[in-house]
Amino acid sequence: MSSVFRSRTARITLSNLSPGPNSQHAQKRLGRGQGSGRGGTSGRGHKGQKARAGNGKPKAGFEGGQTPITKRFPKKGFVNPNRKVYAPINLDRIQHWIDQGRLQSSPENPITARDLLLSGCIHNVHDGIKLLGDNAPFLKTPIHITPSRASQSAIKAVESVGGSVFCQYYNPLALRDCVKSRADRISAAPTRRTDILWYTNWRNRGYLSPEAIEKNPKVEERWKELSKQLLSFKDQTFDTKGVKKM
Amino acid sequence: MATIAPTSVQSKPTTSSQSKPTIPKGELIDGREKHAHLQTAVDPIKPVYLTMSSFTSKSNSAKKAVALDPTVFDHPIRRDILHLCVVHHLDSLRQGTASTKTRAEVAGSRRKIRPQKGTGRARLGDRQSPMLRGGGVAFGPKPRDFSTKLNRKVIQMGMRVALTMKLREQRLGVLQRINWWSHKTATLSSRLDGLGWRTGTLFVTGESEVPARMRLASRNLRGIECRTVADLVVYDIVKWRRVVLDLAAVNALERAFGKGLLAISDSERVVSDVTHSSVEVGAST
Repeated sequence: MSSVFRSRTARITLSNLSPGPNSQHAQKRLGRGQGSGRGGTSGRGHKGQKARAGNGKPKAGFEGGQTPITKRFPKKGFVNPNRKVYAPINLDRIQHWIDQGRLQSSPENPITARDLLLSGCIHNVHDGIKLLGDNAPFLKTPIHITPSRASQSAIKAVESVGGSVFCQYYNPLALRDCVKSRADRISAAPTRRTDILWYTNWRNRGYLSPEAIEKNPKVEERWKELSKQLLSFKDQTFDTKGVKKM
Repeated sequence: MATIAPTSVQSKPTTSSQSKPTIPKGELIDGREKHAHLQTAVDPIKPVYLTMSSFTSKSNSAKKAVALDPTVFDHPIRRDILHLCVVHHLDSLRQGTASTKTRAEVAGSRRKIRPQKGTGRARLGDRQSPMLRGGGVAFGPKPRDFSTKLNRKVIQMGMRVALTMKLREQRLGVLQRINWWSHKTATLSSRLDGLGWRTGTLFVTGESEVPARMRLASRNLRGIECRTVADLVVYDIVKWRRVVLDLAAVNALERAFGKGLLAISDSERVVSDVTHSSVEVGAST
């Protein structure tokens, strides 16, 4: 009878669970007497910085009292808060993607940052897309694209094969909405003077230039008014009424 | 004591002898069981069979067996994994609100309570010193979070191990549906007595809620608990003496913890017990 019981393993219960063999370490018990092997100096050796309580290490950058390198040399340079990093995209690459069937474009559905990102043509949109004209002769297909910026050579190459470029201003939120394909927010207009000048200029194919407002099939009503207001300064003269002539 | 001696889980229908399966004794040692059907890679994965239990029928005739996914219900036993899961769960239950005041938090003035020299007594600073009665606690408990991290795949493996363990111990039952005809506790209690399930049985349903009458009938019974499969953790399976699932719970567990190597359709799920030698849930302790 007893042999029958011996052949059965005990039921697994909460009381007979244990960690895997050799999976645990015993805690080091420091300063618990000579017999423990870690009495006396508790494994810290004799006297000195490392034998004392606390961290025992100088703070980062401390060079033992000599003037540290961070103080030895004067500050240099500055951080440009207006810096923008554009993801460069060249025309031959776009052509390659179109040839593989990974990108399509039409005047109504131009290539956006989202299309480029999702097709793997770029790996990060950074602060926007900048269209560049490397290997422009490879471009054969008319493409329609709305980057943040475009180079002159790229504009020339795209338009010579019958495509279109309209450079659109994206602030970080608008770019994120573009990438996430959200349409419930109005995208912000340029507010900085340099941006206003750049995006209202047809030379840059700025989307707020009067020519772009006329030609862009995807133009929004808001842009027409914006274009008018942002460009009104060009017609304005100084109000000289009531100013006495010297 | 269960009437049937410990049986190994066999999936192959015994054609030569329809009676009892052969009993390989002394092989149910942690993780070292012989899996006759898993030893060679060419063997297709076959379900394990468990005799279905029933609240109603008493007779052994026309018994059904339920086909179970071996990746969930026939996993090598790993006690260390069960231990990890149980400790992780119990850690997560710790409230961690024990709190004492340090010498900085105890109310009182920071005035030096007696001069440094000349009194002939010990040097003392302020009244909140941990050395003094009414002072702060030197290294007392402070509220903290005791919960530990355990990798998701380890927890999933723990569930497989726990279910397999219960099956091999003949302490896993499967019912068509966990429901009871009456809300009266006495009726359920006497029936569970008849089944030998009165003590230490956890009913796990795969439905979104425990059926109302079953919940009402069982909730005042000590040693009986009903819960949904979503609330099931490894700790429960190890803790409860007997676990009874319904078919929906089996489906849910196989979906969550199965490896997708074997698809058991609803029509294949319940088969006649005659052709398959299967494990039966034990009755008493």
